[in-house]
Amino acid sequence: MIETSLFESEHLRLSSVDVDKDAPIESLWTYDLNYARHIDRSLARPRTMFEMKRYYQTLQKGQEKNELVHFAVRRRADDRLVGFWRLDGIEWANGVAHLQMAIGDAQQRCYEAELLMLALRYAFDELNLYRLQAWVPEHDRTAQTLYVEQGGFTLEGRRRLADFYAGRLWDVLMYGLLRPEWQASRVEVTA
Amino acid sequence: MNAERLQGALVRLALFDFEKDLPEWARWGRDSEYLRLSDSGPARQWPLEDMKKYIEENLETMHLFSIRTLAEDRLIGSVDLSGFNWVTGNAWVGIGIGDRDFWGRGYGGEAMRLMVRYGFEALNLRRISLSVFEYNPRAIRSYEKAGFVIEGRARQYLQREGRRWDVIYMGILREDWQDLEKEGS
Repeated sequence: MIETSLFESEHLRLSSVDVDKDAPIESLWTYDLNYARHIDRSLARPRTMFEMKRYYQTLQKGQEKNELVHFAVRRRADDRLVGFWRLDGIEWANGVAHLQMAIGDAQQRCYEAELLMLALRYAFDELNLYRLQAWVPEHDRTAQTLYVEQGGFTLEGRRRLADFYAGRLWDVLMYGLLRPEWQASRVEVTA
Repeated sequence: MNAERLQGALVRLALFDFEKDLPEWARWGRDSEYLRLSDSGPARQWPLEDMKKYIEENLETMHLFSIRTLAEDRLIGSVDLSGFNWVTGNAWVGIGIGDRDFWGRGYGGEAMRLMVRYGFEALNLRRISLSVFEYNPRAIRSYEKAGFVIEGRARQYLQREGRRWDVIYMGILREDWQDLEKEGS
């Protein structure tokens, strides 16, 4: 029997995007440019509700073509949107993908580790991927700690001066996690 | 800038010519080794029409050049810059020498150096990035000669021929390139 609840953990639930309800909330989060960079990697700027809706359409097309997987993340208690996680650049033949996740609601950041566990379990156990990578700008120390200490990711490289934030250039740190590494250190998530 | 800045001792970077160049692309596309050196996705056979459509759709956002020999004006490959981030001044370069007669003879290396110069001189880039596969040491050496340094290694990214291989990420900063230019002059 398979009884794992892939979409639920203690506090969180993974769901599809609710275009009309989520757009106004996520649009406000994009004032934080460290959040906005997840909408368009090549240009972090605040996004209107209209742009968010169009972005959801693009994500939906990507999902239909099996190139990406995107989840809206909600708090189980009241169904409130707290963030997202996504795999893009999925290459099925190589079993690899690029992981992105962020919690936009500042009060809910304590759930980041829980969300990462849900994401990793889905990527390895359900999608049968072999390798995940996450690229994090040097200024985002929280994400670095999260990927290394909670996720067991390995620092694989450093793209010099590949990010611009708060008035200056920063390196982009490249992290990778292989399935055997995750299996050796996996943390069980229960709903 | 003028056409001379796109010309070296062996090759020049020429405008892509749909009529003349596409059939050559189709010929290179039958070489599975070439495809596996160029792309991490599965090697496949695409109709000429699809290649044409791809170029038509992307020509305005990527900077694509055909690589032609100076001696015989022979088309031997292509090089392009894409994935621009104009805020950081980064772009990704891709190069392929489809004509096997010109592998390992410095033609690709020179084309890469011309493209790097174009990126810094004409497009005001701050850095140029590329990725290359572990099983392509000839390309890695050539990129190092052009001034790229290894910045990272995506362990076991590729699954090919029954085993896994790394993808290697390289980059060149404008300062790296300027130092090379000074040494050269």
